[in-house]
Amino acid sequence: MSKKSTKIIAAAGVVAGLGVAALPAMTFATSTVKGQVNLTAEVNEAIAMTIKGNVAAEASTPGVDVFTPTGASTIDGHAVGTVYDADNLQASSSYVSLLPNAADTTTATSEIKVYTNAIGGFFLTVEDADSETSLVRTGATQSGDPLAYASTDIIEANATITAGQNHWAYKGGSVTNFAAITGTAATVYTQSAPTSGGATINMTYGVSTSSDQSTGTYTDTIIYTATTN
Amino acid sequence: MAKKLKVFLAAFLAVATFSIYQVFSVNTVFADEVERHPILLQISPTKQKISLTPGSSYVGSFIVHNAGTQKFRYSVSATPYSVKSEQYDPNYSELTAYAQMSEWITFDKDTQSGDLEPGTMVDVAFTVNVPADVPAGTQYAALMAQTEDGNAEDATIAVVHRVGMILAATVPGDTRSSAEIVKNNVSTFYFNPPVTMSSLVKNTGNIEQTASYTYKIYPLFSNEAIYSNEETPQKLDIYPDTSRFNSMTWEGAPTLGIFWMEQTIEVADQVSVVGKFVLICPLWLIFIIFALLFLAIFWLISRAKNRNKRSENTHKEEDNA
Repeated sequence: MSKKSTKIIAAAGVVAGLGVAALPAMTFATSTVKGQVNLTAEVNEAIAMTIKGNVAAEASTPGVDVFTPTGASTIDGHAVGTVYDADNLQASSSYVSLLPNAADTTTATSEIKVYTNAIGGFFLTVEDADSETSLVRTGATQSGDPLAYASTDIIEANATITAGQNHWAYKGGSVTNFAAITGTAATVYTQSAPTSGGATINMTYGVSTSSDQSTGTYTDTIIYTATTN
Repeated sequence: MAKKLKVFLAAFLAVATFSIYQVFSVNTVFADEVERHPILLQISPTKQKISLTPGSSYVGSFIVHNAGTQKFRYSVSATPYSVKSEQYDPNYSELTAYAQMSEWITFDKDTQSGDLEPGTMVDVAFTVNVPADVPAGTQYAALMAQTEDGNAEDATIAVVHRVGMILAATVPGDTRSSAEIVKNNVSTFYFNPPVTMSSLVKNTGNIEQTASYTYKIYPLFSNEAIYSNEETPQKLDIYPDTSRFNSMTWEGAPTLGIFWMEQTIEVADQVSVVGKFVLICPLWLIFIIFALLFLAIFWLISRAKNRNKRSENTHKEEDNA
């Protein structure tokens, strides 16, 4: 072994030795006082819900122009297609575009997510927000006695979705066939245990139009309710 | 030697660098990406049980939380709450004898509606003004928080997010605490999983009852339970004048085997324990067993007949001889 190599190895050995020796020295060099603090966090039972429709306007970069989705010109008064200061602009509502004498049973959807730590799980129900269960054309007025909308201005709640008939219905969760919405809560999903990562319930709306359906935007408002089991 | 030393130092440096990297990597925890929602409406707690005195007021509160990323406007309301089937499907519109309380509830004006920024919450105060002539027993209401925000202007189906807290209030007086365990079912045979135990419990009184369900499953030749919730039994509330169906599914049950399954139900002063041997056997195996059995019987009968024939022939030959 050359003298140079010997010196290098010796130097490395000294450095390593000093490092090992410094460990206990560092320990004794400082005084430590230990105390014990008990930290308690109490988490209460809660239930939460979010609904995502088939009309999404997600910004690829926060603060940059949002996309312009089909069927949405504004969401909550925010004009779609302009700069918005949120990460994304997500519509909860659903949308479908149809010709007269047509039917669509796949486009309009809702993805509902429920989170709960309640031991018994939860019920999810759906009902119409008011006594008018039809999709009503914006700007339509009622006439006659009793007051009623013209048949060409409404799409009635009805489980049969067939081109030529102005009907709409929903299905999803535990409701496997299209059902007509009513003014009282109907269960669409039940879970008997807390959720893990949220429970996702996918709903689909079927809409069909009559041959002389008036042009325009037809809307109805429905309520999804989640309560503990 | 210098070359060997260089190799040694290079290896030492590599090991040291790797070790340092490992130390920092172990101490770095990357959380799973959490899904964020623009509108996530949350209420807490999910159920409150209180006592009411006729002719007095009760003040309570619950929390409405914006757990999403977008500001929204919320409002609160009180609705009747009852159940309309043995599956306990909720009903938020019918005023029944035990669902009058929503009519007595008012909310604090400052918190009954408003805007909630993302990540913020509001403590909503409510008052129950109890009539003097309210009957004894348990009353129910659902206190709801909802938002109509998030809908596009040209929506076909506009939706309202609504989450509710069940309020159960007991009014003292002429209360009756009684219940009946109508059914306690443990089936004895399954072709295949799932394997379930079911029950039906009826509240025959006028105050809420809590039923406790304990399940135990043992293999055929063992006293050690392969499933038991004895330490934390399942508990379900049973509302007055209602019957509640419940079932427990044994997750991960095997496709073949004999087990002892036991269900214990306790409610009010009633206790029901049902335990049975349960056979899980696929249909194809049953066919095979019966087919083998049939063949065995057929073979035995054939053999017996052949023996008889041979015996008869022997006798005939002897007679002829």
